[in-house]
Amino acid sequence: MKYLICFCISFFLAIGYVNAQTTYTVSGKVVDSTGSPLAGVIVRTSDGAIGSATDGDGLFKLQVPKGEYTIIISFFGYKEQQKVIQVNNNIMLAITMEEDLEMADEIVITGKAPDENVTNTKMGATELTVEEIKTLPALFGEVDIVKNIQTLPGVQVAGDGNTGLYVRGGGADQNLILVDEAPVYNASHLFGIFSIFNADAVQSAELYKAGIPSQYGGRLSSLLDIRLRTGGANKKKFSARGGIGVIASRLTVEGTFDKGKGSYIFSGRRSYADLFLLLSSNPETRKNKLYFYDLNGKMTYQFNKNNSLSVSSYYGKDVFKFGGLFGMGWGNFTFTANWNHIFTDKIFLNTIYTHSEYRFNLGIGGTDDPQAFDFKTGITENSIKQDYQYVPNIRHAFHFGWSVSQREYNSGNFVPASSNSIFEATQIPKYHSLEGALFASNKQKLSEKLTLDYGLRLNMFNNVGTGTVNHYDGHPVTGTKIDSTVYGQGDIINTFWGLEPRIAARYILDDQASVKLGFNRNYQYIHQISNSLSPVPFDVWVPSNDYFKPEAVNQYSVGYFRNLKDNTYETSVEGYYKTYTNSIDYIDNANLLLNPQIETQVYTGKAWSYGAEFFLKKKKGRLTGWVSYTLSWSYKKIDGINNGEKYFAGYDRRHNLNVIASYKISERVTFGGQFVFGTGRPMGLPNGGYQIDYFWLGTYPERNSYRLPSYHRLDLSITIDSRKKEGRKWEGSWSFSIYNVYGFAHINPWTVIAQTNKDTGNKEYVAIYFPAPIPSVTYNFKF
Amino acid sequence: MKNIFILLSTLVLFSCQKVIDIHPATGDVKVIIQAYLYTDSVAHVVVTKSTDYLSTTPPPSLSSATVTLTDDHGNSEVLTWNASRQRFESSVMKGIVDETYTLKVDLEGKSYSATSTLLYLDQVDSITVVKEAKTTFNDEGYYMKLYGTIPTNVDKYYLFKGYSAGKFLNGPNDIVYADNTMISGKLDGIDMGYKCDSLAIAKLEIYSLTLGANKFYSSAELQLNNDGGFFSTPPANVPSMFNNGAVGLFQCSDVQVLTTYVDLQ
Repeated sequence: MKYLICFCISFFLAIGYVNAQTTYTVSGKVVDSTGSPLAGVIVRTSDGAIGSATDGDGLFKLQVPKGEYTIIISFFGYKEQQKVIQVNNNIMLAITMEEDLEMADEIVITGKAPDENVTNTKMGATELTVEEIKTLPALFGEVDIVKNIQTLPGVQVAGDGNTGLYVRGGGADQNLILVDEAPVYNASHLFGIFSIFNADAVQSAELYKAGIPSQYGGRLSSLLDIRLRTGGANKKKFSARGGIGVIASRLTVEGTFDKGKGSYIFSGRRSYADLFLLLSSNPETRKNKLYFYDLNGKMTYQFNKNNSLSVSSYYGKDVFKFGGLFGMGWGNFTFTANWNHIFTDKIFLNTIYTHSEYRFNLGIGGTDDPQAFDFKTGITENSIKQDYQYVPNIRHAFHFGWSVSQREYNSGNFVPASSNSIFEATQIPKYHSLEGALFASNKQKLSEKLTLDYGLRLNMFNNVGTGTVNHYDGHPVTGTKIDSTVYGQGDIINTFWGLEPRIAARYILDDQASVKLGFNRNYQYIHQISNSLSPVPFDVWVPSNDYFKPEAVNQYSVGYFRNLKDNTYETSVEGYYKTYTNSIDYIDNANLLLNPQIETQVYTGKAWSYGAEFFLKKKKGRLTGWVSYTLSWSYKKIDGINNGEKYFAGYDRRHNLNVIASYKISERVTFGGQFVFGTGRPMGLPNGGYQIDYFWLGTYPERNSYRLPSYHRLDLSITIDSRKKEGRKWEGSWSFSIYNVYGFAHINPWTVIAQTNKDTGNKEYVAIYFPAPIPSVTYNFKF
Repeated sequence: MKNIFILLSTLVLFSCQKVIDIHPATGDVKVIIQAYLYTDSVAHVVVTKSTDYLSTTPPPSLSSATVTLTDDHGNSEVLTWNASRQRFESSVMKGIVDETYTLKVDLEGKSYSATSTLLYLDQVDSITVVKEAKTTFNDEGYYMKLYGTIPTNVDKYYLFKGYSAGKFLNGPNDIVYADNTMISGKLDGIDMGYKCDSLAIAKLEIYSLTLGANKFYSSAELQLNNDGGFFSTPPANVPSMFNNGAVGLFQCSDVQVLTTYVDLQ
């Protein structure tokens, strides 16, 4: 494989040699006043022809021809700087940004140049700023990155108040969610009402719906790259911020040490609905628990100008307990260590180790209950990645490296929980896998107008022992198990590999418009066993094997991007077409829990989706916001499902409209609004009924043939900042919001149930929906 | 596990429910067959057709069908129509343990059949009824417990029906079924979920099921207690034990009836 990398590098360099001209490197590092590196800072020439953004260590590099330049350094929340430089050899700059106290400095979702949406080669990426999120209405007052991402074009939601992401016709398990490079396997609290991301702890989030960089892989539909904040991003050695809301509160402390060489940040959040239960007069109610918490921490240290290290971690848990008879808990733990090394002014290296765990546990019954049991599932991953960046000249920017991941999948451990239990301990066989990848890419500027971004990712996946493979006389669903093969520890059970080309081209039409084309192929070797629209905490993951073949997608996309009025307005139209192979779906009445023969519940086949996305965004002025509209279709066609006929995927929605607005009424008062409209999702609903014995059953037509009513709601908010006073060391703000303002007159069912009323015996269709309207108030502070 | 889905489905503290007025287009009318054959009892069969899901009246039993029961020894009987009970009944053939039976229904020029075996039911010991305090999930009351031993060396499937003071205790959405996977075999007072009256007779009927009948009941239970596929397995058609497009159940069962008198107050 080493030879392949060498070949790729040589090939790219050869192309670079042909196009090279006499240029010099302007490189450097951008830090804040405490010395902490700043990521996402835009460094560009004044004419905008040459530019770049700093990486996670604050480093940037420009290749410019000989001459005099005005370099502009800009970053949201900091004062813009200009430096005039004479370039006649390589130059290294050290830039310290000064905080702009007039601007907020909390969440920044992607840092980009004002016209970067036009000039870069990315498709399916959208910029959001802190102000737009902070002042928007938030469910229960909890600012939630994932909920904001759901308003972007091409992203569908499962239902009211749910944080699941369905990107361009992909399933909820097809999103690679990374927190500081560590994957997160369940990104929701409270069954999806909130995401696990505490807004105070997050520095940036970027969603890729297409053109996922070649250094990332393993999922079909999207990459959600979330970076935790680096501490000390202000002038103080110590500072704190937090918020008190109706459902949860937050506190973050941060600072620097060793003269700014090191930084730290620790952030925590806890919900407290259960604390109110303690006020109940019912002793059983007082035993109930329902809360979540999460903790984030990150430390960085700059050893010298060429070496820095950052370590970060997330730990979060949901606890759900009814009396002493029913308890459920789940949560993630991630850890990242990232060593950044600068070899020369042209080559950087990030060496990254990540660890990720997801655990679910369920306990039912008391200590003397014969039906008491405990049930656990989970997945553990350890990964190492080396990611090199090489920028030889103005026309090339290379990325190359390798990664390897080891996983253990616990599909179910069931143990009796009382001495007189009727149950026997059962362990569904654990799975193990190794996944490796080699990747290389190059962003190549062919001319002033045309830039290519092309890359290749070679992946290899081994399903390894210990393990047991069942064999059937025919398809597992219809056949009979005839025997099985047992594999020892480390034995290779299956080997899969694939090549993933990632290609994008951008052609500048004029200084405000461009067209882009893209193609990418992605493979996915791990599969979430979930037969519901909203992933539940006990959904398990399995590796690709004889029966769960690797899923793959080819995506073709095209886009037209135009900015207006000095980049005040961003507009874009994007179209995509995706074809999936080995798409998974489940048989009718599938039994997925604690099933050691899970392959007997599954068919695989093809799927496809296509659509058009329209986006208009206003970035400047008192009124800011965006309008996104998506027109899309998502189909599946799988032998054995729906009589082999095509059917809508459960997350198919024809129309999806989001109107987001933030209006600054005065220096202290900002009004926010959000209107959402979406076609109802498809689902199964009986169109006939019959009696068997004492119960009434339904006859169902084709899969997902009924469509829920259209979904729409309006949310409003108002944020009032505290008065600024000379010498005051703290700042505060009140946020009042109402979720689904007219919800009292219109319901948005996230599902409809056909049932026999147990009291009246009547047959009825019952809508289940989120209560509305939901008012909330949050007080935020920092000092 | 069912309880978990119900809890998820209601989203506990957050969700609301409302009966809504919708009328999905009526689908194709299907022939519905429910047939039962118990040990030492005659067979009885009800043939109907599916109707609108919201129908307030049960569909009429069809007397025009011809129903034939055959065992694997070649014995056969055409069941006769019992007008008062609105069903077909055998008069000679009765259920025998380990026999395999085929039921054929001819109706309107089409023929539908199913085959099932009457499996032996290992007898369990007893039921008791004990008084329990209020818990998060149950009110205070008298609850039925089951004692005994069941085999674990072969797969077994069971259906339960509970009664108290002559009143049927299974609700319209409650199908109580079980299998012996992950079971130690000893049933040391398991809670059957039946709340009984005091000073009354409590009764539990236990039926042996074939794998096919178990799939029918387990799928029916999934359908009756689903949330539309949001958190739970999406509702779907119950797998029929009959061929040729008819929907139905052919349940051959060995039966045990356990009773106890609740003398608690």
